[in-house]
Amino acid sequence: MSTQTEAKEAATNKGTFEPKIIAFVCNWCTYAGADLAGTSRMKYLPNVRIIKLPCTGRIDTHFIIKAFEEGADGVLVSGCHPGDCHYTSGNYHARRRFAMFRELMDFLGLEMDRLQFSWVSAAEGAKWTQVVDDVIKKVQKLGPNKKFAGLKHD
Amino acid sequence: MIDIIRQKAKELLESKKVDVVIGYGKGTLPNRTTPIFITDPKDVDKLEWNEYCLNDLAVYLRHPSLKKYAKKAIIMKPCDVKAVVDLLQENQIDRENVFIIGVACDGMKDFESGESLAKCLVCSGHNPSFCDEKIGESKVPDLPILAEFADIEKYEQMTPDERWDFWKKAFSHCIRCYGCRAVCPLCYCDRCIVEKTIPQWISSSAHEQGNLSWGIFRAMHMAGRCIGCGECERVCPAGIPLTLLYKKLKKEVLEQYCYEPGKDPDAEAPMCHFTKNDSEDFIR
Repeated sequence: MSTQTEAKEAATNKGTFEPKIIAFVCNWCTYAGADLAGTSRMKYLPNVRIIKLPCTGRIDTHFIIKAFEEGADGVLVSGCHPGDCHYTSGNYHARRRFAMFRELMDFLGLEMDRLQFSWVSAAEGAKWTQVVDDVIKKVQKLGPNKKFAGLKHD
Repeated sequence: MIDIIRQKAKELLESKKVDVVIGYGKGTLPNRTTPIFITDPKDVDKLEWNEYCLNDLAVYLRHPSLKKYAKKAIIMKPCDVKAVVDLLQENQIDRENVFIIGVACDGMKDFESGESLAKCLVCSGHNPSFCDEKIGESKVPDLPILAEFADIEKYEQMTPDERWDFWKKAFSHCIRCYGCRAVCPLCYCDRCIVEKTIPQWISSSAHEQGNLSWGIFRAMHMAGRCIGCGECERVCPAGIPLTLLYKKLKKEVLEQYCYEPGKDPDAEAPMCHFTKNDSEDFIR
Protein backbone atom coordinates (compact mmCIF):
# COMPACT_ATOMS: atom_id res chain seq x y z
CA MET A 1 0.00 0.00 0.00
CA SER A 2 1.31 3.42 -0.90
CA THR A 3 2.21 6.02 1.67
CA GLN A 4 -0.57 8.20 0.32
CA THR A 5 -3.15 5.56 1.18
CA GLU A 6 -1.61 5.04 4.59
CA ALA A 7 -1.80 8.74 5.29
CA LYS A 8 -5.42 8.74 4.20
CA GLU A 9 -6.18 5.83 6.47
CA ALA A 10 -4.56 7.53 9.43
CA ALA A 11 -6.64 10.62 8.71
CA THR A 12 -9.82 8.54 8.60
CA ASN A 13 -9.05 7.02 11.97
CA LYS A 14 -8.70 10.50 13.39
CA GLY A 15 -11.99 11.48 11.75
CA THR A 16 -10.33 14.02 9.52
CA PHE A 17 -10.43 12.16 6.21
CA GLU A 18 -10.63 14.60 3.35
CA PRO A 19 -11.71 12.69 0.26
CA LYS A 20 -10.50 13.57 -3.19
CA ILE A 21 -13.43 13.86 -5.58
CA ILE A 22 -13.05 14.26 -9.32
CA ALA A 23 -16.00 15.90 -11.04
CA PHE A 24 -16.33 15.48 -14.79
CA VAL A 25 -18.69 18.21 -15.92
CA CYS A 26 -19.98 19.48 -19.21
CA ASN A 27 -19.01 22.92 -20.44
CA TRP A 28 -22.48 24.23 -21.10
CA CYS A 29 -24.58 23.40 -18.05
CA THR A 30 -22.82 22.07 -14.99
CA TYR A 31 -19.62 24.06 -15.44
CA ALA A 32 -21.70 27.21 -15.81
CA GLY A 33 -23.75 26.08 -12.79
CA ALA A 34 -20.58 25.69 -10.73
CA ASP A 35 -19.45 29.07 -11.97
CA LEU A 36 -22.74 30.57 -10.87
CA ALA A 37 -22.25 29.04 -7.42
CA GLY A 38 -18.85 30.75 -7.31
CA THR A 39 -19.96 34.15 -8.51
CA SER A 40 -22.94 34.00 -6.15
CA ARG A 41 -20.48 33.37 -3.27
CA MET A 42 -22.18 30.11 -2.31
CA LYS A 43 -20.09 27.88 -0.08
CA TYR A 44 -19.36 24.24 -0.70
CA LEU A 45 -16.74 21.78 0.46
CA PRO A 46 -13.40 22.19 -1.29
CA ASN A 47 -12.62 18.49 -1.90
CA VAL A 48 -13.83 18.48 -5.46
CA ARG A 49 -11.56 18.88 -8.52
CA ILE A 50 -13.54 19.93 -11.55
CA ILE A 51 -12.59 18.72 -15.02
CA LYS A 52 -14.45 20.48 -17.79
CA LEU A 53 -15.35 18.64 -20.97
CA PRO A 54 -17.42 19.75 -23.95
CA CYS A 55 -20.34 17.45 -23.16
CA THR A 56 -21.25 14.45 -20.99
CA GLY A 57 -21.25 12.54 -24.26
CA ARG A 58 -17.50 13.15 -24.37
CA ILE A 59 -16.96 11.59 -20.95
CA ASP A 60 -15.59 8.21 -21.76
CA THR A 61 -15.70 5.58 -19.06
CA HIS A 62 -11.88 5.46 -19.40
CA PHE A 63 -11.73 8.80 -17.61
CA ILE A 64 -13.55 7.44 -14.60
CA ILE A 65 -11.40 4.32 -14.31
CA LYS A 66 -8.26 6.43 -14.67
CA ALA A 67 -9.46 8.79 -11.95
CA PHE A 68 -9.95 5.89 -9.55
CA GLU A 69 -6.61 4.38 -10.49
CA GLU A 70 -4.84 7.67 -9.84
CA GLY A 71 -6.26 7.87 -6.34
CA ALA A 72 -9.68 9.49 -6.53
CA ASP A 73 -11.95 8.48 -3.67
CA GLY A 74 -15.07 9.38 -5.57
CA VAL A 75 -16.15 10.50 -9.02
CA LEU A 76 -19.02 12.77 -9.89
CA VAL A 77 -20.29 13.07 -13.44
CA SER A 78 -22.60 15.94 -14.20
CA GLY A 79 -24.14 17.52 -17.27
CA CYS A 80 -27.19 19.13 -18.80
CA HIS A 81 -30.69 17.93 -18.05
CA PRO A 82 -32.20 15.68 -20.73
CA GLY A 83 -33.42 17.83 -23.58
CA ASP A 84 -31.03 20.68 -22.76
CA CYS A 85 -27.88 19.30 -24.38
CA HIS A 86 -25.95 21.90 -26.37
CA TYR A 87 -25.28 19.16 -28.94
CA THR A 88 -28.90 17.97 -28.88
CA SER A 89 -28.35 14.38 -27.79
CA GLY A 90 -24.93 13.98 -26.12
CA ASN A 91 -26.40 13.48 -22.67
CA TYR A 92 -28.93 10.92 -23.91
CA HIS A 93 -26.13 8.78 -25.27
CA ALA A 94 -24.11 9.32 -22.10
CA ARG A 95 -27.07 8.26 -19.98
CA ARG A 96 -27.16 4.80 -21.57
CA ARG A 97 -23.39 4.42 -21.38
CA PHE A 98 -23.29 5.37 -17.70
CA ALA A 99 -26.26 3.16 -16.87
CA MET A 100 -24.29 0.20 -18.23
CA PHE A 101 -21.01 1.33 -16.69
CA ARG A 102 -22.65 1.63 -13.32
CA GLU A 103 -24.05 -1.90 -13.56
CA LEU A 104 -20.62 -3.16 -14.55
CA MET A 105 -18.81 -1.41 -11.70
CA ASP A 106 -21.43 -2.64 -9.26
CA PHE A 107 -20.93 -6.18 -10.55
CA LEU A 108 -17.18 -5.80 -10.06
CA GLY A 109 -17.76 -4.78 -6.47
CA LEU A 110 -17.14 -1.03 -6.34
CA GLU A 111 -19.27 0.81 -3.77
CA MET A 112 -21.87 2.69 -5.77
CA ASP A 113 -21.68 5.78 -3.56
CA ARG A 114 -18.24 6.46 -5.00
CA LEU A 115 -19.61 6.92 -8.50
CA GLN A 116 -22.40 9.44 -8.78
CA PHE A 117 -24.25 11.18 -11.55
CA SER A 118 -26.31 14.34 -11.66
CA TRP A 119 -27.91 16.80 -14.01
CA VAL A 120 -27.10 20.39 -13.02
CA SER A 121 -28.14 23.25 -15.30
CA ALA A 122 -26.42 26.61 -15.65
CA ALA A 123 -29.08 28.14 -13.38
CA GLU A 124 -28.70 25.57 -10.61
CA GLY A 125 -25.74 26.92 -8.63
CA ALA A 126 -27.50 25.95 -5.42
CA LYS A 127 -28.14 22.41 -6.61
CA TRP A 128 -24.46 22.09 -7.50
CA THR A 129 -23.38 22.98 -3.95
CA GLN A 130 -25.83 20.44 -2.53
CA VAL A 131 -24.73 17.70 -4.92
CA VAL A 132 -21.06 18.26 -4.16
CA ASP A 133 -21.56 18.40 -0.39
CA ASP A 134 -23.66 15.26 -0.52
CA VAL A 135 -21.15 13.30 -2.61
CA ILE A 136 -18.32 14.33 -0.31
CA LYS A 137 -20.23 13.30 2.80
CA LYS A 138 -21.13 9.91 1.34
CA VAL A 139 -17.53 9.25 0.31
CA GLN A 140 -16.30 10.44 3.69
CA LYS A 141 -18.49 7.77 5.28
CA LEU A 142 -17.00 5.11 3.01
CA GLY A 143 -13.43 6.14 3.75
CA PRO A 144 -10.49 6.07 1.32
CA ASN A 145 -10.82 4.16 -1.94
CA LYS A 146 -8.79 1.13 -0.91
CA LYS A 147 -10.10 -1.10 -3.67
CA PHE A 148 -8.54 0.64 -6.64
CA ALA A 149 -5.62 2.07 -4.70
CA GLY A 150 -4.79 -1.40 -3.39
CA LEU A 151 -4.28 -2.89 -6.83
CA LYS A 152 -0.69 -3.78 -7.68
CA HIS A 153 0.74 -1.78 -10.53
CA ASP A 154 4.08 -1.12 -12.22
CA MET B 1 -24.72 -34.15 -42.39
CA ILE B 2 -21.08 -33.75 -43.32
CA ASP B 3 -21.82 -34.99 -46.86
CA ILE B 4 -24.40 -32.26 -47.39
CA ILE B 5 -21.95 -29.65 -46.08
CA ARG B 6 -19.18 -30.89 -48.40
CA GLN B 7 -21.57 -31.05 -51.35
CA LYS B 8 -22.73 -27.49 -50.74
CA ALA B 9 -19.15 -26.24 -50.37
CA LYS B 10 -18.18 -27.97 -53.63
CA GLU B 11 -21.14 -26.48 -55.43
CA LEU B 12 -20.35 -22.97 -54.24
CA LEU B 13 -16.68 -23.20 -55.17
CA GLU B 14 -17.27 -24.82 -58.56
CA SER B 15 -19.86 -22.27 -59.58
CA LYS B 16 -17.44 -19.55 -58.42
CA LYS B 17 -20.16 -18.11 -56.22
CA VAL B 18 -17.56 -17.86 -53.48
CA ASP B 19 -13.76 -17.68 -53.42
CA VAL B 20 -13.23 -19.45 -50.12
CA VAL B 21 -15.16 -21.69 -47.78
CA ILE B 22 -14.36 -21.20 -44.11
CA GLY B 23 -15.07 -24.33 -42.13
CA TYR B 24 -13.84 -26.89 -39.62
CA GLY B 25 -11.14 -29.42 -40.47
CA LYS B 26 -9.51 -32.32 -38.69
CA GLY B 27 -7.51 -31.32 -35.64
CA THR B 28 -4.33 -32.86 -34.27
CA LEU B 29 -6.33 -35.22 -32.02
CA PRO B 30 -9.50 -37.17 -32.87
CA ASN B 31 -11.73 -34.94 -30.76
CA ARG B 32 -10.34 -31.65 -31.98
CA THR B 33 -11.14 -29.49 -34.97
CA THR B 34 -9.29 -26.60 -36.46
CA PRO B 35 -10.48 -23.82 -38.75
CA ILE B 36 -9.65 -24.45 -42.42
CA PHE B 37 -10.01 -22.38 -45.55
CA ILE B 38 -10.94 -24.27 -48.71
CA THR B 39 -10.37 -22.58 -52.05
CA ASP B 40 -10.17 -25.63 -54.34
CA PRO B 41 -13.34 -27.73 -54.85
CA LYS B 42 -11.12 -30.86 -54.76
CA ASP B 43 -10.32 -30.19 -51.11
CA VAL B 44 -13.86 -30.16 -49.75
CA ASP B 45 -13.39 -33.61 -48.21
CA LYS B 46 -11.14 -31.96 -45.66
CA LEU B 47 -14.21 -30.34 -44.12
CA GLU B 48 -15.45 -31.90 -40.90
CA TRP B 49 -18.51 -31.59 -38.70
CA ASN B 50 -18.78 -33.14 -35.24
CA GLU B 51 -19.54 -32.17 -31.66
CA TYR B 52 -16.14 -30.55 -31.21
CA CYS B 53 -16.57 -27.69 -33.69
CA LEU B 54 -15.91 -25.08 -31.03
CA ASN B 55 -14.37 -22.08 -32.80
CA ASP B 56 -16.52 -19.13 -33.72
CA LEU B 57 -15.44 -18.79 -37.34
CA ALA B 58 -16.99 -15.34 -37.75
CA VAL B 59 -13.66 -13.89 -36.61
CA TYR B 60 -12.22 -14.80 -40.03
CA LEU B 61 -14.74 -12.77 -42.03
CA ARG B 62 -12.79 -9.62 -41.33
CA HIS B 63 -9.39 -11.23 -40.94
CA PRO B 64 -6.62 -9.42 -42.88
CA SER B 65 -5.15 -12.68 -44.20
CA LEU B 66 -8.44 -13.51 -45.96
CA LYS B 67 -8.88 -10.06 -47.48
CA LYS B 68 -7.82 -11.36 -50.91
CA TYR B 69 -10.96 -13.51 -51.09
CA ALA B 70 -13.83 -11.16 -51.81
CA LYS B 71 -16.67 -13.64 -51.47
CA LYS B 72 -16.67 -15.99 -48.52
CA ALA B 73 -18.88 -18.90 -47.55
CA ILE B 74 -18.83 -19.76 -43.88
CA ILE B 75 -19.99 -22.83 -42.01
CA MET B 76 -21.63 -21.80 -38.78
CA LYS B 77 -23.37 -23.05 -35.70
CA PRO B 78 -26.61 -21.12 -34.97
CA CYS B 79 -24.97 -19.24 -32.07
CA ASP B 80 -22.08 -18.08 -34.25
CA VAL B 81 -24.46 -16.71 -36.86
CA LYS B 82 -25.32 -14.01 -34.31
CA ALA B 83 -21.77 -12.68 -34.65
CA VAL B 84 -22.26 -12.29 -38.40
CA VAL B 85 -25.51 -10.44 -37.73
CA ASP B 86 -23.62 -8.07 -35.41
CA LEU B 87 -20.90 -7.52 -38.02
CA LEU B 88 -23.53 -6.73 -40.65
CA GLN B 89 -25.26 -4.38 -38.25
CA GLU B 90 -21.98 -2.55 -37.68
CA ASN B 91 -21.26 -2.35 -41.43
CA GLN B 92 -18.12 -4.43 -41.15
CA ILE B 93 -19.02 -6.87 -43.93
CA ASP B 94 -21.27 -6.77 -46.99
CA ARG B 95 -24.24 -9.08 -47.05
CA GLU B 96 -23.67 -10.03 -50.69
CA ASN B 97 -20.08 -11.08 -49.98
CA VAL B 98 -20.88 -13.62 -47.33
CA PHE B 99 -22.74 -16.89 -47.80
CA ILE B 100 -23.82 -18.38 -44.48
CA ILE B 101 -24.15 -22.14 -44.31
CA GLY B 102 -26.06 -22.55 -41.05
CA VAL B 103 -25.78 -26.00 -39.53
CA ALA B 104 -28.23 -27.14 -36.87
CA CYS B 105 -26.44 -27.97 -33.64
CA ASP B 106 -27.34 -30.29 -30.77
CA GLY B 107 -24.69 -28.78 -28.54
CA MET B 108 -20.90 -28.89 -28.55
CA LYS B 109 -18.56 -30.63 -26.16
CA ASP B 110 -15.41 -29.59 -24.42
CA PHE B 111 -12.61 -31.66 -25.93
CA GLU B 112 -10.76 -32.09 -22.66
CA SER B 113 -13.61 -33.23 -20.44
CA GLY B 114 -15.97 -34.53 -23.13
CA GLU B 115 -18.83 -32.75 -21.37
CA SER B 116 -21.33 -30.39 -22.96
CA LEU B 117 -20.29 -26.72 -22.97
CA ALA B 118 -22.02 -24.60 -20.34
CA LYS B 119 -23.41 -22.29 -23.03
CA CYS B 120 -24.94 -25.27 -24.86
CA LEU B 121 -26.87 -26.39 -21.79
CA VAL B 122 -28.78 -23.09 -21.77
CA CYS B 123 -28.95 -22.62 -25.56
CA SER B 124 -31.88 -20.61 -26.85
CA GLY B 125 -31.45 -21.48 -30.55
CA HIS B 126 -30.40 -24.88 -31.85
CA ASN B 127 -31.50 -24.16 -35.41
CA PRO B 128 -30.09 -21.30 -37.47
CA SER B 129 -32.57 -18.59 -38.33
CA PHE B 130 -30.45 -16.14 -40.31
CA CYS B 131 -28.62 -17.98 -43.10
CA ASP B 132 -28.48 -18.61 -46.83
CA GLU B 133 -28.47 -22.38 -46.59
CA LYS B 134 -29.83 -24.37 -43.70
CA ILE B 135 -28.44 -27.83 -43.09
CA GLY B 136 -29.95 -30.41 -40.76
CA GLU B 137 -32.46 -29.95 -38.01
CA SER B 138 -32.01 -30.14 -34.28
CA LYS B 139 -34.75 -31.60 -32.14
CA VAL B 140 -33.24 -30.36 -28.86
CA PRO B 141 -35.74 -27.97 -27.23
CA ASP B 142 -34.73 -24.30 -27.08
CA LEU B 143 -34.65 -22.66 -23.67
CA PRO B 144 -35.82 -19.08 -23.05
CA ILE B 145 -33.02 -16.49 -23.22
CA LEU B 146 -33.33 -15.79 -19.50
CA ALA B 147 -31.95 -19.29 -18.76
CA GLU B 148 -28.52 -17.94 -19.80
CA PHE B 149 -28.43 -15.57 -16.87
CA ALA B 150 -28.90 -18.16 -14.15
CA ASP B 151 -25.19 -18.37 -13.30
CA ILE B 152 -24.69 -14.67 -12.66
CA GLU B 153 -27.31 -14.60 -9.90
CA LYS B 154 -24.87 -16.15 -7.47
CA TYR B 155 -22.49 -13.24 -7.98
CA GLU B 156 -25.23 -10.63 -7.85
CA GLN B 157 -26.14 -11.85 -4.38
CA MET B 158 -22.61 -11.48 -3.03
CA THR B 159 -21.63 -8.36 -1.12
CA PRO B 160 -19.63 -5.77 -3.09
CA ASP B 161 -16.50 -6.68 -1.13
CA GLU B 162 -16.86 -10.37 -1.98
CA ARG B 163 -17.38 -9.53 -5.63
CA TRP B 164 -14.34 -7.25 -5.63
CA ASP B 165 -12.16 -9.96 -4.10
CA PHE B 166 -13.44 -12.47 -6.63
CA TRP B 167 -12.67 -10.28 -9.65
CA LYS B 168 -9.41 -9.00 -8.24
CA LYS B 169 -8.21 -12.57 -7.82
CA ALA B 170 -9.51 -13.65 -11.23
CA PHE B 171 -7.82 -10.77 -13.06
CA SER B 172 -4.59 -11.11 -11.10
CA HIS B 173 -3.92 -14.27 -13.17
CA CYS B 174 -4.22 -12.43 -16.50
CA ILE B 175 -1.00 -12.59 -18.54
CA ARG B 176 -2.19 -10.02 -21.09
CA CYS B 177 -1.88 -12.35 -24.04
CA TYR B 178 -4.93 -10.65 -25.57
CA GLY B 179 -6.21 -14.03 -26.70
CA CYS B 180 -9.71 -12.85 -25.75
CA ARG B 181 -9.33 -10.03 -28.22
CA ALA B 182 -7.81 -12.14 -30.99
CA VAL B 183 -10.54 -14.75 -30.90
CA CYS B 184 -13.47 -12.37 -30.55
CA PRO B 185 -15.43 -11.86 -33.78
CA LEU B 186 -16.52 -8.43 -32.56
CA CYS B 187 -13.11 -7.14 -31.40
CA TYR B 188 -12.15 -5.91 -34.83
CA CYS B 189 -10.56 -2.48 -34.28
CA ASP B 190 -7.44 -2.17 -36.40
CA ARG B 191 -5.80 -0.35 -33.55
CA CYS B 192 -6.87 -1.33 -30.06
CA ILE B 193 -7.05 1.18 -27.21
CA VAL B 194 -4.69 -1.01 -25.20
CA GLU B 195 -1.92 -0.40 -27.73
CA LYS B 196 -2.27 3.37 -27.69
CA THR B 197 0.47 4.98 -25.69
CA ILE B 198 -0.21 8.71 -25.97
CA PRO B 199 -2.07 8.86 -23.69
CA GLN B 200 -1.80 5.37 -22.29
CA TRP B 201 -5.18 4.50 -20.84
CA ILE B 202 -4.35 0.99 -19.78
CA SER B 203 -1.07 0.00 -18.20
CA SER B 204 0.43 -2.66 -20.46
CA SER B 205 2.23 -4.72 -17.83
CA ALA B 206 0.50 -7.74 -16.36
CA HIS B 207 -0.28 -6.23 -12.98
CA GLU B 208 -3.61 -6.18 -11.17
CA GLN B 209 -4.39 -2.58 -12.03
CA GLY B 210 -3.87 -2.80 -15.78
CA ASN B 211 -5.45 -6.25 -15.94
CA LEU B 212 -8.60 -5.07 -14.27
CA SER B 213 -8.88 -1.93 -16.35
CA TRP B 214 -8.36 -4.02 -19.50
CA GLY B 215 -11.22 -6.23 -18.31
CA ILE B 216 -13.45 -3.22 -17.69
CA PHE B 217 -12.60 -1.65 -21.05
CA ARG B 218 -13.35 -4.81 -22.97
CA ALA B 219 -16.57 -5.38 -21.08
CA MET B 220 -17.73 -1.82 -21.83
CA HIS B 221 -16.88 -2.26 -25.51
CA MET B 222 -18.91 -5.49 -25.49
CA ALA B 223 -21.98 -3.93 -23.88
CA GLY B 224 -25.00 -4.60 -26.07
CA ARG B 225 -22.79 -6.35 -28.64
CA CYS B 226 -21.49 -9.58 -27.13
CA ILE B 227 -23.42 -12.52 -28.56
CA GLY B 228 -22.13 -14.92 -25.93
CA CYS B 229 -20.11 -17.34 -28.05
CA GLY B 230 -17.81 -17.76 -25.05
CA GLU B 231 -14.65 -18.01 -27.13
CA CYS B 232 -12.80 -15.48 -24.96
CA GLU B 233 -13.31 -17.59 -21.88
CA ARG B 234 -12.49 -20.83 -23.71
CA VAL B 235 -9.12 -19.60 -24.95
CA CYS B 236 -8.16 -17.72 -21.77
CA PRO B 237 -5.00 -19.38 -20.41
CA ALA B 238 -5.64 -17.81 -17.00
CA GLY B 239 -9.19 -19.16 -16.70
CA ILE B 240 -10.81 -15.77 -16.12
CA PRO B 241 -14.63 -16.12 -16.21
CA LEU B 242 -14.98 -13.30 -18.74
CA THR B 243 -18.40 -14.35 -20.00
CA LEU B 244 -19.90 -13.56 -16.59
CA LEU B 245 -19.09 -9.88 -17.11
CA TYR B 246 -20.47 -9.78 -20.63
CA LYS B 247 -23.53 -11.77 -19.63
CA LYS B 248 -24.28 -9.31 -16.86
CA LEU B 249 -24.26 -6.45 -19.37
CA LYS B 250 -26.28 -8.49 -21.85
CA LYS B 251 -28.89 -8.99 -19.15
CA GLU B 252 -28.99 -5.29 -18.28
CA VAL B 253 -29.31 -4.28 -21.93
CA LEU B 254 -32.14 -6.76 -22.36
CA GLU B 255 -33.94 -5.59 -19.23
CA GLN B 256 -33.48 -1.87 -19.72
CA TYR B 257 -33.54 -1.48 -23.50
CA CYS B 258 -35.33 -4.68 -24.60
CA TYR B 259 -32.52 -5.45 -26.98
CA GLU B 260 -30.91 -8.77 -27.73
CA PRO B 261 -27.72 -8.79 -29.83
CA GLY B 262 -27.38 -10.89 -32.97
CA LYS B 263 -31.03 -11.00 -33.94
CA ASP B 264 -31.61 -8.39 -36.58
CA PRO B 265 -28.95 -6.71 -38.75
CA ASP B 266 -31.21 -3.70 -39.26
CA ALA B 267 -31.83 -3.05 -35.56
CA GLU B 268 -30.37 0.03 -33.87
CA ALA B 269 -27.34 -0.86 -31.72
CA PRO B 270 -28.36 -0.06 -28.12
CA MET B 271 -25.21 1.86 -27.18
CA CYS B 272 -25.39 4.06 -30.30
CA HIS B 273 -29.02 4.81 -29.83
CA PHE B 274 -31.32 6.22 -27.13
CA THR B 275 -34.91 6.91 -26.28
CA LYS B 276 -36.06 9.95 -24.35
CA ASN B 277 -37.57 7.85 -21.61
CA ASP B 278 -34.53 5.67 -20.84
CA SER B 279 -34.31 4.93 -17.14
CA GLU B 280 -32.29 7.48 -15.17
CA ASP B 281 -33.09 6.62 -11.57
CA PHE B 282 -29.37 6.62 -10.77
CA ILE B 283 -28.99 10.27 -11.80
CA ARG B 284 -30.17 12.91 -9.41
